[in-house]
Amino acid sequence: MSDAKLQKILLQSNDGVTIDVGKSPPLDIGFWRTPPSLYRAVAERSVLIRNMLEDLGDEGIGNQAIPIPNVNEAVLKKVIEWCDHHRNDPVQPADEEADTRKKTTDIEEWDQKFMQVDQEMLFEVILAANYLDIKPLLDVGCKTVANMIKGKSPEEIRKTFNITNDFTPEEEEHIRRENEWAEDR
Amino acid sequence: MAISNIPGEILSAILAQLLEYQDYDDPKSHIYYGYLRDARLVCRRWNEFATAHLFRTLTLDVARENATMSWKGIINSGMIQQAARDIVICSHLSDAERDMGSDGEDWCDHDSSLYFSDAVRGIAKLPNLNSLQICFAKKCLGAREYRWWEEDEDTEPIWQRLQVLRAVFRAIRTRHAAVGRDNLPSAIRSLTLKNLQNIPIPQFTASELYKDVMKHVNELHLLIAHEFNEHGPDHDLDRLERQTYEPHLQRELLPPLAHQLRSLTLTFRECWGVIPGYFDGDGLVFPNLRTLTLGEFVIGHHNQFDWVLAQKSLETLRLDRCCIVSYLRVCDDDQWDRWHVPAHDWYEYPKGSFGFDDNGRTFGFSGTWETVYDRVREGLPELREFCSVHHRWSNTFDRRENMGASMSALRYITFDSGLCPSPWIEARYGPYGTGDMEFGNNDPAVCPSDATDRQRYTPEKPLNRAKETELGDRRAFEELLRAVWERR
Repeated sequence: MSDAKLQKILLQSNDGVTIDVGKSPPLDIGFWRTPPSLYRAVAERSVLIRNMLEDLGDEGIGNQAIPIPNVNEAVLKKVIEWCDHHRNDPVQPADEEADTRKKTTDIEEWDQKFMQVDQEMLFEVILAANYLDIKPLLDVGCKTVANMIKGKSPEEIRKTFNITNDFTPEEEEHIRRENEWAEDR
Repeated sequence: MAISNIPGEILSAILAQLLEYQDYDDPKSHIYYGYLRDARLVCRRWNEFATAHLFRTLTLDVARENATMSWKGIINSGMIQQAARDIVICSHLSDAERDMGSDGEDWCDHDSSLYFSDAVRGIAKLPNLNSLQICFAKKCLGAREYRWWEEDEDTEPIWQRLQVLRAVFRAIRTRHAAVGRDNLPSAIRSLTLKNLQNIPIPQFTASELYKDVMKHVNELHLLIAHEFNEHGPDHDLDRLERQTYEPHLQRELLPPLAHQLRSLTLTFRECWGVIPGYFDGDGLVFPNLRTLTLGEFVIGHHNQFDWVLAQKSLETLRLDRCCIVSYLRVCDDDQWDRWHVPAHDWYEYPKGSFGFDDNGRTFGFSGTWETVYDRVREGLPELREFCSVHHRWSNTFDRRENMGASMSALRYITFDSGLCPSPWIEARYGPYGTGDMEFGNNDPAVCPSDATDRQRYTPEKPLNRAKETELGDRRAFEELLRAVWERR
């Protein structure tokens, strides 16, 4: 195992807090849950951070905090929690007859619980996943919101997300007519 | 932070998740658009992004009720014009719609071909279109039986198919010409022909019209249909097209397109590649091919996958219900002489093996998936995605993008030309006895001369190539998945 893998990785949120990936106390996973050799694996769930680490080189890692200017401390810790849980996400399983396709809105249980937050945090996590380029987390976030939309009428959706209806009655009628052309296929 | 403040790209990604199959486990299931229809009605911003998803794929189903009115509305809506990327042109009522008693506008029955051509020309109004699918009827007839069956409303005769092809290709050519003239932003790069009949159509493929359109295509997806007689399938296998279409595909249809293709799908409605038609891809080189999807392809020789391994640029390989054939029986010598398929690496069993009578020939092929998986891992250095599924009752031609990777007990198959409607016999599937095969009386030994014993099935020692090869196949399969994953 290379020494570089043992070096800690520091991230700095936009509110000036430095977070040590793998040692961050706010993670409710215990100090030694993430062995030191996996620090980098956690951080590298983010393509953006992986590229930054490559730019820094082994010498630079651990000596300076990587600034994450678009994400605050609370959200960054939440994102690191997700990255830690998914740090070893494997090759797709090859179980006998296992169909590895997922329903579009299937979300694994841990992720469902992880996403049980208020709407503000939910959208902040989605934005952070987008900024940090963590596609699986972005997918989980989008699926979570999609599940909040499904089965609701337009009015119920507006209430859920506090959206104002800015259509004129004529526009609404026009859309309803167009919708008739979009048959299931 | 609220949903009203999130960037459009994120809102679009969320709304894209509202598309789902009505029954995900059924490869033929329709996509449900109801959630997106409701999302359009939330507010103007949502309407903008939901419309892009809802009308990304348009369907011109000329055989449906009110098709004329719907299509005119679609084609003249500014928002839909901008949203459309793909179009599906159906030239017939689907079997399901017929079962439901749909009374569509059968354009061929009342001289409406002018309407069809006019409707198809509407694609010129869709500036962002880059993908087109023509969906023919599943049922087709070879030239020899046309007189017998021309009254069968489910069947789409070859002349009608040609008429559709010409009308659509003319519309595409006109649109391509307008790309330069009217500054339309996209040409049609992806062409899907679903239920393309397994008959060469040189009068079309040699035409300038065909060449003018195909020179822009870099994604070609073919689902090949074959003639079948559901009431009397005894001679389906002997149709000339079943023997000649695969060589035609290999030697005539694909080579002129080889240099331009980046994605290719070859799927048949029946197992193909080994017998009675043969396809080994020898000489086919696609220097720019990134994605290859093979559906229902059967490997019956050690060198039969070499052509796939020769496509060094491949990044994605999908095998949809592809099998290795382990045992084959051709039930009479005349068939064997007519079919001319290679047998250089097959073991021929003595007459009477497996309880078969003395007419015909019986073979075994020793190929394993372990070898195929290892060769894919070693031979395709750019491969980053490998998919393999064996859905039990249908291939996933319409959903190939969502294919997963699993090693199925159905990966080995047998062939017996004496059986119908299909001579291809899938292994058994289920929690008990998975992979068990049925081939004659399942006993490779020469059967006793007593005729009553010939058909005696021997369940105590079933043929099961999946079980025999399990360890090696699984090792190679997992190493392949790991290798492609690490290349990402």
